[in-house]
Order: sequence, then structure tokens, then C-alpha cells
Amino acid sequence: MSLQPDNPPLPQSRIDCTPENIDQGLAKLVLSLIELLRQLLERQAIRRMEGGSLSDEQIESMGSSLMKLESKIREMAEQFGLTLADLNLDLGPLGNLLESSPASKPSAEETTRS
Amino acid sequence: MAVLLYCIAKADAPATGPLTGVSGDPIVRVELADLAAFTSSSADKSNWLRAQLQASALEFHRVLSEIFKSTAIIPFRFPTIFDDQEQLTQRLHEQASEYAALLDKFRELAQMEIRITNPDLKKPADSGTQYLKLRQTSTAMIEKFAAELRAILSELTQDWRQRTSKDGTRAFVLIPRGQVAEFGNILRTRPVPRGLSVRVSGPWPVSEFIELS
Repeated sequence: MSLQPDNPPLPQSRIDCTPENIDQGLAKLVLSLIELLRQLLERQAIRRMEGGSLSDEQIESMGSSLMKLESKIREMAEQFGLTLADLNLDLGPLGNLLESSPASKPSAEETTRS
Repeated sequence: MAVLLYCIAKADAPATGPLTGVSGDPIVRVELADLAAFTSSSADKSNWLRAQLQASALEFHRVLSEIFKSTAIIPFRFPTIFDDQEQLTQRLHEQASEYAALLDKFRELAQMEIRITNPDLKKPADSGTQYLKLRQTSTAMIEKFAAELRAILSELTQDWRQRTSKDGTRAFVLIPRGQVAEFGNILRTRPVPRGLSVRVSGPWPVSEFIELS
């Protein structure tokens, strides 16, 4: 994430709508929004599961639907030459629609443990 | 000539060596009153947007990291483009006092990032129930571990921001620049719970903590 002035003059958007890439641009926009909704639904399902308001059948059904939707989004993204990491929108001062990939930053001191 | 703004520092920031930015354009330091803006220029601003976003963002962040090594900066999002130098100068005039105050506030601070993930979340689940339960237990484990890290780092921490992502949590920790090594040492003493993966990076510019009015 980086800082953005509150209202910079004429920041340039990254929406490229040339005839060559309009399909991919549109797919990215639509799939990003669907992925956002999927993530919200997933969090809501987990909250309901924790709250005990879902039966075992409902948990299985919701989990299965969310899992299939995730797989379908990935599959459709690949068809348009996109990865899940590409499914994001830069909302300017508000940051990104979804969390960005850590790989997008150059590495400073970095350690990984697991 | 369009101007791409990378960051702003205090005018007394030490000079950097020659730097190259997005699309190979040289970085130019523009000074105005107490501030120095680091920019590059191009007759055709579409040059900056034509390349792959990720490649351009990496070049952009590399410049920020290089300048940040020697001084506090206010980093800008890529791409922040002004139509010409005059427009940039006007912006600096308007915001000068706010930029200067922020640079004073964060002069000796750096941002570290701790990313906690569960690699198992990427594996396919056998059932819908397993899919949801894995995410439930994983979220709880990650949040608990993040809270533990926050507690053991509390003496160094000036501020802490945390965000949930698709596969885990990202914590941004504001610490004194001089204590980056100590930060790493503290984290190294803490065992990572089975199933979780932790990635620590930094020091970075304090972008997560700067809030402009």
C-alpha cells in the first residue's frame, strides 16, 4: 500500500480500453467484483457457522458452493490470461479493492518461517 | 512535459546517486522551500502506463526504497502524474506544511510488515464442510498468533495496523529505524505454530501510517 495525496491533480487511471485488451479489462473488472462478493459471503458463512445458525447440511452446501465458485473464478480468469492476483482494482486513496499480493513489492530485508 | 511523482522528502535529505525510474527515465530532485520532490519526466505520459503494471510498480517501489534508505519520505501511489512541473509546484505549495509535519513525525521511523498465512488454504478441500472449517480454524489461529506477536513486539511498536487478506493477515508495524535488527531478533525467538507461515519484510517507508487530511 502506498500513500496517495487526498486529491492529486489528474492521477492517471490504469483502465486501458484499447480494442486489443478490452475483453481482458472487462473480465478483470467483473471477476474482481465477483471475487470480492465471494470473499464477503465466505466470511459471513463462517460467522454464521460459529454462531450455530447453520445446520450440517447448510454448512456443506454453502462451503461447497463457495469452493466451486472460487474454482470457477480461477478457471475463468485463466481463460482471459489473468491470475487471482490480477483480480484487484486500484481505488486510489482508498487502496485496493482486495488485498494485494506481497510479491508486488521488491524485497527489502525479508525472512520467511513456517 | 508530464511529471511522475515518486515521493517527497525534506530538502535537507542527503543526495542519492543517479537513480532510474519507471521506463528507464532518470529521477530528478525538485526542491521547493523545505521540501524535495523526486520525479521523472516524459513528453508522453502513456510511456509510464504502457508497460505491465507489476513491472512498473516494481521499478517505482525500487526508487522509493532507495531514497528511503537515507531519509524519511512520503511515498505516492503509482501512478501519480501531473500534467507539468507547474502543476506539481502548485501541489507542493498547497500541501507544504502538511508534508513537512508528516516528515518530521516519521523522520526516525520505519514500517515493517508481517504476513501470516496458512498454506493449507490453497489446497483443495474434500467437502464443503471441510472447506469452511479449514478457513474458520485457520482464521482463528492466525488472529491468535498475530495478537501474540503484537504483544511481544509491544515495546518496540509505535503503531500497529492489521488487515485480513484472502489467505491470512498482514500486520504493519511502525518501529524506530534503529531497531529493525532488534525487531527481527524478537521475532526469531518466537516459534511459528504448526500449519502457519510467517513472512517478515522491511524496513519500508511508513505508507500505511501516513494519513493526509
